[in-house]
Amino acid sequence: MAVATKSKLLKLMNEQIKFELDSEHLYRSMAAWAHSQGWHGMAQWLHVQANEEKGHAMRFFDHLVDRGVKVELLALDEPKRDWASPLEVYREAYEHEKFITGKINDLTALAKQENDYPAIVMLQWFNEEQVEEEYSTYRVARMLERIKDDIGALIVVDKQLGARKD
Amino acid sequence: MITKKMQDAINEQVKHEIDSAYIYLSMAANFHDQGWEGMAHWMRKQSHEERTHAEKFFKHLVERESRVELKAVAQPKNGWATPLEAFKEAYKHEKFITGKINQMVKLAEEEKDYAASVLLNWFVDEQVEEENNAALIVQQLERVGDSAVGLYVLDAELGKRE
Repeated sequence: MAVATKSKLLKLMNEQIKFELDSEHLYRSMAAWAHSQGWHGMAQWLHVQANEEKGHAMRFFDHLVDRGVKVELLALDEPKRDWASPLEVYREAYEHEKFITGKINDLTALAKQENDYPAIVMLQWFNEEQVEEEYSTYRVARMLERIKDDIGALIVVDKQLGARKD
Repeated sequence: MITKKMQDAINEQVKHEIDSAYIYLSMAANFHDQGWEGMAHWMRKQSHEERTHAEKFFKHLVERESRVELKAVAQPKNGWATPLEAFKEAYKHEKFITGKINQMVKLAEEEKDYAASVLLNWFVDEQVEEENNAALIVQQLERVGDSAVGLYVLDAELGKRE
């Protein structure tokens, strides 16, 4: 028995759990690809990113629980499995983050429309977080664009990315 | 080196473990909705544990220079009328997973894949624990029946899981 009914915003928030978990799954798949190519540093970076996405999903999950709304988990898509290069991976990661930002922006606009103050505050964390997510993926993509096929540089970058911790 | 058959089996098991994590998270959502906060907490912990299981299989494939291939995650069931119903299903699910592990144990033996066998032995033990934990809770819930105090105490107990 739900304590609260799902407003349009809260329904959309429920869906956002899926998008964040899809992100986790995608990054995990990117990590699997990176491992298979011998880019273990990038794989580590991508694993950490995947874990972060799980945390994002749980923020939405927890908010809905706190609002007395029943969470309904949705199916997750089979993620892409192969990429041509590390550059392609990070370009896609950057595009994906921009997609997620779009979703967060939709939620933000709707929360303001509905005057849902707790949601507005909660979403502010995500507004900021998405700036960081877009930037961090963009930065790596830009670096990889610059070094192109230089294997020495790629090895160094891979090592640097591998330093990322949870 | 790992055979394609074993690689496929392990990839399938990664899927099963992730599916498990998702089902348990759905049970947690269900318990939150019904006001069983302790049971919800227990399920969140269980969900997390399933993820670590998936990670073990994932890591094994990577360390065997093999390819991890992630699959779609099915939409889990989303409503259980009572705690007993949910935990009965959890127990049934663990027995299903044990069956999958056992199939892989047999495959590893047939292929003389000793490395996989060692990993799977860990899971054989783990599944004994998983089945037992679920069975114990089912037993307690059956004993408590509809007793409000009984359920309240049990919920509080389960909420203590670390």
